[in-house]
Amino acid sequence: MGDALRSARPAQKCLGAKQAMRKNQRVSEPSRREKGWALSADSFNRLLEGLHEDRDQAGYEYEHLRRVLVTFFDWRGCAFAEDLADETFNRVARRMEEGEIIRNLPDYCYGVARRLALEILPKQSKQEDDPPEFEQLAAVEEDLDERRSREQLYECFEYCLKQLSPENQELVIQYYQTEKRAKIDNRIALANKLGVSLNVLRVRVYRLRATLEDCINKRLNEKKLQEGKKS
Amino acid sequence: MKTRAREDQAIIGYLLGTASELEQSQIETRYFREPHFYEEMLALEEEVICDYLNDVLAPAERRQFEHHFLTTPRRRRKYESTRKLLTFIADQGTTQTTTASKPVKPGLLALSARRANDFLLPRLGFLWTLTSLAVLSFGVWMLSNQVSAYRSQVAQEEARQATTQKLPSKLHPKTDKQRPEANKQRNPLAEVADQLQASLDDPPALLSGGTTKAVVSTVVATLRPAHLRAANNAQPVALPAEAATVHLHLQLGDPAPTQFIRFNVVLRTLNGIEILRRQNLTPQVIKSDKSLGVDLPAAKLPVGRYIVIVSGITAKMEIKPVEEYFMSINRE
Repeated sequence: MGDALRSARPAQKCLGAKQAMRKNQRVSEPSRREKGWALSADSFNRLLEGLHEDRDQAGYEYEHLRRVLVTFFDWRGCAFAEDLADETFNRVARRMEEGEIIRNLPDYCYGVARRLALEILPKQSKQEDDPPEFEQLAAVEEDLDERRSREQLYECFEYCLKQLSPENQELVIQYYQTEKRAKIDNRIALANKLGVSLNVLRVRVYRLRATLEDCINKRLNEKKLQEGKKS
Repeated sequence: MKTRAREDQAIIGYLLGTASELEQSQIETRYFREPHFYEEMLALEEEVICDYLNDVLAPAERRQFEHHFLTTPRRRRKYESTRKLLTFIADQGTTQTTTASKPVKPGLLALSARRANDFLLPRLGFLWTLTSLAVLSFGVWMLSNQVSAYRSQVAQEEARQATTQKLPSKLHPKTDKQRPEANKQRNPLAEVADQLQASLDDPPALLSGGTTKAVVSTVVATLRPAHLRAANNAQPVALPAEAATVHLHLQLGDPAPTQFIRFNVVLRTLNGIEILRRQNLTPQVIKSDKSLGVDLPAAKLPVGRYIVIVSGITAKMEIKPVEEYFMSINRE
């Protein structure tokens, strides 16, 4: 649930260069678009060096840039955003291997990603079937298992909300309260009350929600493990 | 509909796929460079989802949301998780309100007074009963005295009116002049009656089509369950042009279902387009009548026929169909 939400947390542990390397080796096979070229350990190291001198920091930067790329492709409406993000890195690493000097790697990655999106989107729209009607998505009836998992999710929500400080609990609840929204913009009032701008409030709640979702996922996994042991 | 800052508006245009190529590249360059801006974008993306779920998006934005925003799996997942969060938060809000209204613990003084009272009451019970009876009897006696006084006044008044009616008609011009004098002597009860009559005779400005114009902001539509899915079962609801909100008052059948603790309501067009979905609603109970109330913006109900589907949630969290309602919206 909410990959991008979790991954964008500022306090997230740095994945580390080794892990990042391992992760990218999954896409080291020749891509459909750039056949005959594969991401080697050297080219990946060069890519990391281009991001930061310090290896750990470079790993962190790499992870962040990858998240941005995935979101970029998603916002552009491309299918398989993760694959396209890795393809972007492959293309950039290849240019670096060919001797191209890159001053600002994030900017360069953006340029490559944009070209890739423009390449992909026309093909995608030809292949794309009609998108499912929204009302069909929303009106799915729940079966018993789904209902159980929903109840479990609610339990986890409750547990995790209590893990936040009382001020933060109140902030999350007030921010998402729906009743008053149609008439008064609840969030503006809340930002004024806290003496912060709407943007600051929005990001603060967004981070809280990311923490909440992290906690919920952990709790759900724990419950699944417990159920597995019982059965 | 809410108003947003220009920058937010541009970002929302980007998220909903209405930004131009130039706007897109400006926003993208910025979030590739500035991690904080990227985080703001993600937060705003979440806000757009909340706004959609809260019916705050403009109609065009709403359309874009449904046809562009929800086309990727990542955003659909995000939409689902936000929807669940909002439902949960709404429940939390209700729980908090309930706990806030719990009675406050009594202070030391109040506690001592209550204990003294508890101690004295059983022992002085007989004395208390006697005193109460005495006070009650005195009250009844006073009241009966008052009633007989009023009765005699009314009888005198009636006798006087009878003599006035017997006077010859030539005296009538005089009586017009004498009327204010007579009015002064009239029973205050009769004056109140006159005032009431006058207020009934004079139509209020609101109804008489005077300069004050009636402003209808909420229209209440009471719907009864339809047992057959036939077009002629649609209950007509006339919406004035100035109506802002429609309150659907859904009567829950006769006899009202008792096995459900909460209800879900879905409003659709007859073509199946979902207009509204409300979950975990608590019914209102007035005497033996059970009903559900749902508010929605009048703008969301163009002329046409609609179906309202109500399902109930049992104590075991089972969801079962309850009632269906048909309505046909007309605009005045």
